[in-house]
Amino acid sequence: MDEGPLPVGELAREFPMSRPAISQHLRVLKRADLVTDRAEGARRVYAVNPDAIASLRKYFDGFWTRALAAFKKRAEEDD
Amino acid sequence: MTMTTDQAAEVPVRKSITVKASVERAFRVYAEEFDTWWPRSHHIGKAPMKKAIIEGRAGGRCYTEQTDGTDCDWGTVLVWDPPHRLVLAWQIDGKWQYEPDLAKSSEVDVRFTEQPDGSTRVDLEHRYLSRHGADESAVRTAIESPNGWSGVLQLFAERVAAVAS
Repeated sequence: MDEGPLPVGELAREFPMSRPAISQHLRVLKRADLVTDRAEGARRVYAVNPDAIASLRKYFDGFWTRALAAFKKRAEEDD
Repeated sequence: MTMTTDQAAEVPVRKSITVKASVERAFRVYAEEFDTWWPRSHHIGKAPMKKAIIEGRAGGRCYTEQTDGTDCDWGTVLVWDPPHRLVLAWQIDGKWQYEPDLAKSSEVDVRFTEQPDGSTRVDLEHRYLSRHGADESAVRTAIESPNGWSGVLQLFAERVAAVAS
C-alpha cells in the first residue's frame, strides 16, 4: 500500500491473511482514519490516509491535556 | 502512493497551563516527583506499573518499575535545566516497544516560567511526531500483526475503543 492505493485482493496476496480478515482490519483502520477507501468499479481501493499523523497529534493533544491537569492538581497541593 | 512529509506532521502538539506554585516547586513535581502525577495506565511494561522515574541529569533514563520487578525504559533526558526546562525523548514505537534510536523518537520539551504573581506558566511542546512513522509503514505493521490490533492501532487505542463502543 506504500506504493499506492491497492484493492483488497492484492493486499490479501501480500499478507498471510484471508481476504475477509484483511477487510476486517481495513475497516478498523478506516474507522481510526488511518486509511481511506473508494470504489473503483466493483472493487474497493484502499490508501494510506495522509492525515494519519494528524490522528497521532489528536491522540497526544488529548493525552497531554489530561496529564497536565493531573500535574497541576498535584503541584498545587500542599507540600 | 508516496507519502511526502505532511505539513501537519511537523506541527507540534502544544499545551500551556498556569500552576499556582513557584517554578522550583513546579519543576520538582514535574520531574523529580513524576511518579506522583503521571497517569498510572501509561507505561509499556508487561506487568502493572509500580513507579515512574525520570533520572535528574542530561542523558538520564526515563523508565517505569513494574510490579514483577522489571524496569521498562521509555525515554531519555535530553535537557535537564532545573527549574526552567526539561526535554525528554519519547522513545515508544508504534508497537508499544522501546525505540532505542533517538532519530525515530519524538521530543517533549517543557518550559517553566515564573509569572509576576509568583505562579508558574508551563509550556509543553511534543514535537517530531512524524519520526514515529505513523505512515504507510505503521499501517503495514498494523495489517501484518497476527491479531490486527497491535502496531499503530495500540497508539490509537483510546480512539478505536471509542469508535467501537
